[in-house]
Parts: sequence; C-alpha cells; structure tokens
Amino acid sequence: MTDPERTAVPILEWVLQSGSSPAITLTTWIAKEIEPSAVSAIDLMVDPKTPCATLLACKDAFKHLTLDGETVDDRTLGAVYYAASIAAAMANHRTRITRQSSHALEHAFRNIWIDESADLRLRDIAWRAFFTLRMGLEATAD
Amino acid sequence: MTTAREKPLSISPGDSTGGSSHTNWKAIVDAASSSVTSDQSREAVAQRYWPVINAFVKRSGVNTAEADDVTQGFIADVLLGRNLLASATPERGKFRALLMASVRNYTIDQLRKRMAASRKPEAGWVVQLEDDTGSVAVDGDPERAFLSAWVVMIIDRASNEVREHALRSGQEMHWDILDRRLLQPCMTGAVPVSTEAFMRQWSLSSAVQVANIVARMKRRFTAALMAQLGQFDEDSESVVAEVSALLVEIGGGRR
Repeated sequence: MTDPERTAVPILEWVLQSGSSPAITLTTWIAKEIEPSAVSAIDLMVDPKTPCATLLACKDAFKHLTLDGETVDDRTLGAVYYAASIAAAMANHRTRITRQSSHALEHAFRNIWIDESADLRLRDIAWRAFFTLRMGLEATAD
Repeated sequence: MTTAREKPLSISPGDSTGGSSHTNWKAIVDAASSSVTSDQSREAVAQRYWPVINAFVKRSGVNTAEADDVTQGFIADVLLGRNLLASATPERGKFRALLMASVRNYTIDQLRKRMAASRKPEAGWVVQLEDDTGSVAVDGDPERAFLSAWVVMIIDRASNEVREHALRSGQEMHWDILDRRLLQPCMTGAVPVSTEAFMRQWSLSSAVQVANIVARMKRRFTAALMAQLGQFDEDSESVVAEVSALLVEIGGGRR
C-alpha cells in the first residue's frame, strides 16, 4: 500500500457518488465505464453532443442490465435506459440504432414520456424520438 | 474485574484484517462487559485497532523500538484495562475521535514518564522545570497518521468482505475485475487492466459485460464500505458526513 492519504481518496469518493437509489448509482457507474466524463447515464444520453457510437454502447450495456441485473430495480431501470438510449439517437441524430420495429419503439417511447415519475429530460427525449419516428425523419445506422 | 494485563492477548502488529468479523458498537459494548463472549470481543477489538494506534504512537516521538510496547500498553491498560470501551457509546460521539484522544493522552503521558525517568537523579528527587508542563515534542503528524491508518483499515475490511463473498459465490471473475480494474490501481498505483484483457482472460464476448461487472462490483464494494463506516454511524447521512470529514482531513482540505 502506498501513500494512503492520496490513494484512498477516490475510493472514499465512491460513497459520496452513491445516490439514494442503488439502481441509479449502478447506471451512473455503467455510463462512466462507457464515457469516463459522464455525470450520469441520463446526462450522457440526452446530451446532443454524445455521439451515436456512445449511445450504441449505452444501448448494449443497458440491454445487458435488463437481462442480467441483480435486482428487479436494476432490470427495470435497464429496460427504460435501453429504450432511452435508442430514443436519444433518434431524437438527437435522427438515427435508428436498433432493429426493433417502429411499433415496438413507439410503444417504448410512449411508455417513457407518459411516466410522470420519470426524469423530465428522459420524457422530453422520448417525446422527440416518438415525433421523429412518426414523421419518418430518421435514417438507419450503418 | 479481571484486567487485560492478567489475560495476555494474542495481539500482533499487522494482524488487523483477518477474517470478516465486524467490530461494531455491539462488539465494543460486549468487549467491555463480563459476558461469556467478552474475551473474544476484546481480542477482536484489540487486533482491529492495533495498526491505527501504532501509527499514532510511531509518529508521536516514541522511538521505533518502544512504539510496539506503548501500543500494547495502551491496548492492555486503556482500551481493555480501563473503561474506554465501556465509556464508548454512540451518544458520546464518534469512537474514532474518542480513541484518538485517548491514544494522544496516553502517548504524551508515556513520553513524559520516559523523559522524567531519564532525568531522575540517583538521590531520588525530581526538580519540576517550568517547561516540563508544556507539550511533549512530536515529530510528523500523529493525528494524520492515525486517520490514514483508520481509512486503510476500513477499506481493507470492506475489501476482505467483498472478496470473501465473491469467492464463496463462485464469482472469482467478478472479484478479479474489481480488484485489478479499480482497487489495485487506487491502492498501489498499478495500471488498470483493460477491458480487452479481461475479455480474453475470462472469455467474455462483449465489453458491456465488463462494464456491467465493474459497475456492479463497485456498488457492492461501496455498500461494504458504508457498512464498515456505518458501524459507528447509524444512518446513511451520518456515513456520508463521516466520509466528507475524512476526505477533508486526509485529502488536505480538497473539500
């Protein structure tokens, strides 16, 4: 062990980064694995400057969480963020990063935007993605 | 009451992290009692706090050869022998602060005794000099050494707990990824192992699997860390306040 005064600091800071929701803390740390400068998963996904490749990585990571999460909360949040990452690509880049059908996507986006407990930024991105999809404005990712 | 001096403890330096047993308020209260498990609790408490006490003593001006004796003396005479454990209650504040204040007083007392003994004339009387009432000179910063050792103790115990749980649950890969991606780089300055290296080593098919495991294990470790800190602070707000205070004290006021 070397210089504990310096080395212990980042580990102790994990406690301060932990929110009241363990599932949200988990998604934040997954987002940081994808983009180390990310403040949270939502911040990363809704930022118009986040490239499609990063949103694709988010989509895959949250799909994995949906299937393999430790708790019901983990899996539920994973499903919402999976859809949100697709919505972000569609709303901010007009790009479809999934092979899901339009019907399935509309259903997923609607579920986010009508959820009054969801973060307002997620609801907004879901609404804009729904609109983009309905208007046929999106392209398909290579 | 039987004193700790009459019942030698099998305490040794650096033996603070063995096992996953927790020393919390319950253990401290039990150690101070005369219950059938008090001897076991006293030994656990003594082993746990040896490095923390020893770190303070070594930076207080006690020479290296005598530091272990002073540490042993404090544990036997004060921590276990007197009523320090009995007087430690959640209502009286942080055990960390109580322990440090007690170690400080004991160490200063020991330094004064040693200084007085070295000055004592053969005739057997001592002249009290004016400056003898002042503070004993110390080198380094014993309080900082104590806090650093305290933080290392907490992190080591959380680490042991997570490792043991992972190995018991057949999650050797999960522990390995946490350890070599996050813990070792923080604690030893080792280079973090790359996602690609973990994928090769553990036959993982995608990078998102590694990302999920890193995040999951980090959450588990943080929960274990909070549990260690929570042994002296009942609620999560107090734990967060304690961490903030520790960061200020060991981080040189970065917060």
